[in-house]
Amino acid sequence: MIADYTRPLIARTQETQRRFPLLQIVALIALFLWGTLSLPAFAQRSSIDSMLVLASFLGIAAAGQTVVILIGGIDLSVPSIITGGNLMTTLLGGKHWSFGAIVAVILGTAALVGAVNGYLAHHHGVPALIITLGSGSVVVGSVLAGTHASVYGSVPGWFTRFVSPASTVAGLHVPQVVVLWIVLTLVIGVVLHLTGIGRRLYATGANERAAQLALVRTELVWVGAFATSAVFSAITGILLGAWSGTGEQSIGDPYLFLSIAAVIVGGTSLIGARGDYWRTVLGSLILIVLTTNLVGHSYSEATQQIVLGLIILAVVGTYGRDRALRDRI
Amino acid sequence: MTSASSVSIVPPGVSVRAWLASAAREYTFVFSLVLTIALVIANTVVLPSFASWSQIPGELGTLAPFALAAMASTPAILVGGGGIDLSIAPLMGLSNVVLVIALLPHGLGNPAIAVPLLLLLGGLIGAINGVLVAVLRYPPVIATLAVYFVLGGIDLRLAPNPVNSYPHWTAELATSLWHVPGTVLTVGVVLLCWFFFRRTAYYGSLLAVGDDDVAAFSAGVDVAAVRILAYALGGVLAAVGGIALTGTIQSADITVWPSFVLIALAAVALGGTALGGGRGGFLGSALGATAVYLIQTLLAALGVDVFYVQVAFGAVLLVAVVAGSQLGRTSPMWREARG
Amino acid sequence: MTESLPSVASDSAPVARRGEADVVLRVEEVTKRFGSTEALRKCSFELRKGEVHAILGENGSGKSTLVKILAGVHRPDSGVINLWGVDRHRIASPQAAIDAGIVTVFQEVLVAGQRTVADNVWLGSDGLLRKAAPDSRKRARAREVLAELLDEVPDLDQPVGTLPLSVRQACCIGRALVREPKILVLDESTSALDVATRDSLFEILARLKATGGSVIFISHRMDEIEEIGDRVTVLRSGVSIDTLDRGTATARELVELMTGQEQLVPERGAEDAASRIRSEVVLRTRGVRVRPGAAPIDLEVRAGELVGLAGLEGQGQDRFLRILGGLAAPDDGAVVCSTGGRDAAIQSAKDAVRNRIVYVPRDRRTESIFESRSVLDNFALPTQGRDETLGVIVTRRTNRRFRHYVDRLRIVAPRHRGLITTLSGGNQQKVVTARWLAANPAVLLLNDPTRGVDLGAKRDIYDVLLEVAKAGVAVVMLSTEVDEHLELMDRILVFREGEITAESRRGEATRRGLVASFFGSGADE
Repeated sequence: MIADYTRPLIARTQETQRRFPLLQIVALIALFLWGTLSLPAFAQRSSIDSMLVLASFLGIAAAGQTVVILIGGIDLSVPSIITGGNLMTTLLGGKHWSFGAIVAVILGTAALVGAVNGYLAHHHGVPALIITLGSGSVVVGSVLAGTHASVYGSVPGWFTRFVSPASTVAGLHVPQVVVLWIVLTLVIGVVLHLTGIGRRLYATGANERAAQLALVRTELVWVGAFATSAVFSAITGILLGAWSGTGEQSIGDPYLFLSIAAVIVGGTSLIGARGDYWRTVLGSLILIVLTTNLVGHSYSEATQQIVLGLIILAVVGTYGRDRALRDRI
Repeated sequence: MTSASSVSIVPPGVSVRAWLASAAREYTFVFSLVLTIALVIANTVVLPSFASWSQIPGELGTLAPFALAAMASTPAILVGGGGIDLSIAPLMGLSNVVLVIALLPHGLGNPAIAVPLLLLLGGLIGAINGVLVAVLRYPPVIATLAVYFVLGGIDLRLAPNPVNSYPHWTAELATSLWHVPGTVLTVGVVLLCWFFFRRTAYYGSLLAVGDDDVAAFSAGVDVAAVRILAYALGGVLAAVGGIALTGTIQSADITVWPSFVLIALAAVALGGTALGGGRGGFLGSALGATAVYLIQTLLAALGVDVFYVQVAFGAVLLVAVVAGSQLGRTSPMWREARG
Repeated sequence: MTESLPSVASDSAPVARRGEADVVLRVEEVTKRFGSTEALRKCSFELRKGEVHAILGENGSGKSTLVKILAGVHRPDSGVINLWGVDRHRIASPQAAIDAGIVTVFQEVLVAGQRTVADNVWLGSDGLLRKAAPDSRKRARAREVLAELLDEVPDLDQPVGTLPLSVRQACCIGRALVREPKILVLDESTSALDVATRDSLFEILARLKATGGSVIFISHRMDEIEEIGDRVTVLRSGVSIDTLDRGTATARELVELMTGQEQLVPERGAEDAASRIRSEVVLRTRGVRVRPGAAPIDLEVRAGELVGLAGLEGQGQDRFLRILGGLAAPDDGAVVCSTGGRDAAIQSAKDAVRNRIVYVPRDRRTESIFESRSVLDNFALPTQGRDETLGVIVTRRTNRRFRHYVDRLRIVAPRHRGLITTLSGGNQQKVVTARWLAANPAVLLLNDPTRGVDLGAKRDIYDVLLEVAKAGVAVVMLSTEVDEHLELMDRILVFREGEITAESRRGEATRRGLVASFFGSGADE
């Protein structure tokens, strides 16, 4: 009896969820309320600004992961490229390179690394997971060796202000880096939903064979997607350079599971190219608010990680599973 | 229609490349064996004391967790269906932490008690992975990645800071026990078990499922049970790896296990196990791990910056998997399927 | 036992029951649907002890589904399976089927390519931990069973993937024999075997019968059915039409049962055929062999012509069509295209595209449809560049282009931005057709485009195909439905065993004649 009611309800919810991340918005609001009600100073200006800045870092790192997951891959080199970008920023900044040159070199190198990732994964049919694991190690090892892991470089003052939660934009109390995030979000949204490139990306992820038959150069899509992912990781690394002030060996590490979690929690599917970057934005916000809550309630980082793993299992369980064997005979 | 008299598709005039590829398919561990021998020679040339009797037990002891991590990652890959187990490394860490923090200080440190307990723990967690993949049909990457996060969190929770252990029996595993290198007990016993394992009914089913799960299913194989058992087996071996790891570090230290993720996969790929499943084995993985370990020692002996070791590992993984995928492409059935 | 043919207006005809003790398997009014397609409609079937029972039917008659239900792969939606007097509602899995005594050799040659011959023969026999028999006994028995089938037993330790298809199929049959089945189901299992092996198989089946076992034998080769079939059941459109004893029906009569009443199929496109078909040859094959050893095919396709590729599944027409589109390489020969005024060799998909040859794939789900995308996106993908301004796609333009095809093809899609999966199969296929028509092809290759499409949608697609043919497009269409060929095609080419064995022109062919040519010797007049 109960099943008769719940099954159509579940089906309708799933259908709505597919089009609109309703549950995520509800979750975000609920988590925010939880924090406001149970933690002092949670809803204060400075606290919200900090959360927004952290969410920006995560959101930008997860932007690349989103693109890669939409075509059916995954990028494990995100933490390495973040670390690499971070170290290079402080190193080159310490050598008084112009900011523009620093950004150009780092992003250019990252794009190259990402392109190689995409090419190897597609051309040789090796899982992207493994390719990016290997290349990430090569990148971070090279940068650490080159910088000898001790970087007392410096970043321009305006840049430190850029990522500060206390900064403002045109008099508005919005941290500057958040504005960057908003701009990137809009650009990604336009590319994914309004351009031919975006359509080809989704087609490749939805059904690669059909995409090839429909004249899409899927190898270029893979190369481009992974290059994009690497560039976004590098941007995050550069931003973190301003945030922390120095280069750090393991600054990128938490972003491995956080970037993947942000995409998954946002509701983007791991198979079939369902989802977009708005969802990842929501996912990033949810994760930051959640972790701020957990920290505020004195839950350890360990607990956070356990909770995240379980959440991933729960979310993927509702939409991301494989076909049964008997349907493949 | 071909006549039944031409039984083999490989005529006398076959190209050398194809012949080599088919030989590599049959004896998957050959490449890693050759590489290992070359690296042993290289190491001895650079640092003559490398091959001295007094050093070897310790070297083997350090090698043991590498080899066990690689062997633990193998069953999930062998069983196919996109199979991979990313949770092996944190599971090794868990075994290490539980032994040092929970078992030893509370009178459960006796190997006769601790070892079965840890193996059981590993097997149970492995079985959970197996159920997620084979019954609930999660993609193996995501299921084991989520378990990786959960186990990592548990590890961090139990041992946020390194905890030294008082001297105990695992130390002998890392050195020697009555003049026999302790690694003989850990890795050696596992390899011995592998030797007998290859003669079991399960082994045939495991490889068949990994090769073509649809064919196995149609022939009546219980594919889900085979897969669950494979992941459970990986978990048991990870637990053994954690014990061996404790032997070398003599403490509970969660900063050690993360590097094993990549090392294990590189070792498995080097050892000739196909990423798609159905081909490979423990011997190859152990030899692959040995090769990876020897690269590390060689670089250290050459005085190379420790960070270049990371570069080397990454490069080895990339080369191994790309080369492995090329080998797969020359098989006759693959060519036929491409039509 | 009937002298005259039964009337076949109703659903399942009653099957003669003769002694309950004789019957080992009874399928009673089993129904199975996949989505909106009903593969089996109250199908009934009965198998006796010690007989070889053949099942005959066209594409889509339900044979494969019946086999898969008996093999434990699919579960019937309704109906009863009665095995040795015990009723069951389903057979839960292949293992359950084998435990119940039914062993199936599937149409596809399912082997684990990297495992040895011996391993493949014994695949599935072992329990999870315990072996079915000691290794020495296994090898001996494998050698025994393969020796019964093959002149030369292959090396038992050789990986099966390196052996020819006929040997692999022999291993699959050996796998079934080693289980000592009480009911052996062979689904088109002789397709890859050579004559000698096939004869050995028939001897084995005779021995199986003698010891009380039964065989369900599905084949499209009339001569084989005549040789070993004790009884034949004809399936049509998911029901069993009749069961006949050996020797009571000629091949022609069997074909009549398979196809049903000869209906008058309205011909379309006949009126203007003469003016429609241009003289210029746009696509030509020279000596193309679809399989090694098959007869070479020399084909000329003219602009404005409608050419049909017909035949049972797997007879080479699918591969031939893909060769025309540059998606497969022929075993011999070349494909030449003259759409651009000059001759161009077609050796790859890129060559095809460059020469305005468009290929519409067969399997919608795996080769055409993007399930997570909208109707509009599914339509526009190859041609979306036309709607771009400064890199941004102007949806209004795409909509306008799409509406043109919505009208022509009568596509029912109320929301263009909705998911493609909300459309019926027929409408999805129309969207795919529109996708490719929008690419402005000179040659249109269609691989079974109306599979799983309702009648109304089919008619709409036919109308559009005739329209484009009139405009000068050359159309080559593979179809598994006989009526389509009779209705539309200027020329029908019948494929059998990788060769074109019959060719008819518009108006010459009859349904029975066509189907008879599918089945080959003995069925023709």
